[in-house]
Amino acid sequence: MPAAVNSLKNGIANSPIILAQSATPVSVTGTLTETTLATITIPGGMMGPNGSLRITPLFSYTSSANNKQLRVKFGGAAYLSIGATTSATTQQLTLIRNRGSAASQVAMAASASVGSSSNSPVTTTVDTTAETTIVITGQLANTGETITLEGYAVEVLPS
Amino acid sequence: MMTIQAVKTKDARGTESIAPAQQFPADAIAIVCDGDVYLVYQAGDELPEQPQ
Repeated sequence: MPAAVNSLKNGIANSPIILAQSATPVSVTGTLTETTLATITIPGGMMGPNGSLRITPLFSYTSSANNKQLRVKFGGAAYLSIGATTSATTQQLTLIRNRGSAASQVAMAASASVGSSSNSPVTTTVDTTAETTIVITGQLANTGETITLEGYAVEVLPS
Repeated sequence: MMTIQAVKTKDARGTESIAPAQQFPADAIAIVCDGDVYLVYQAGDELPEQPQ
């Protein structure tokens, strides 16, 4: 029986689970439209009312003054939305916590990852008892440039 | 190599986004979206040059 099934108790995982990870590079170029680079499905009920999702994306991009927008979305809401300019790579950590309910989440301000921000935390009411998706996107400001999702990991920290 | 259609959708505010029409295959070694299609490189394919 797969380890992930053994770690389920009453349908809720009771040990950390690596839900998905990839190091296949996915790039966008030639368009200014926000473009999906990865989609990960979170099975309904896996987080539990006090569980978390930990998403660790690694991006590379053209170093320029043009603002390249990098996003991690959960249930349609942006939990990470940062602009990248004159650096070349960034690795972010998005931690989405269920706050005492499977339908109430809180996370760091979308403009940051870890550390401090002058912005308020992100809060949503996504029903995690139902199947939900994480979408990682890139959006260029110059069609001649490139954003690459070099890899990611998605973990469920259940409770 | 295979191509996956890039599907354009608009949200309630009219903001456009692009997503693949199907899941990426498990044996993909690199994927590039140009706004119209996702080019999926698989084992044995010559990879494109790394962007600068």
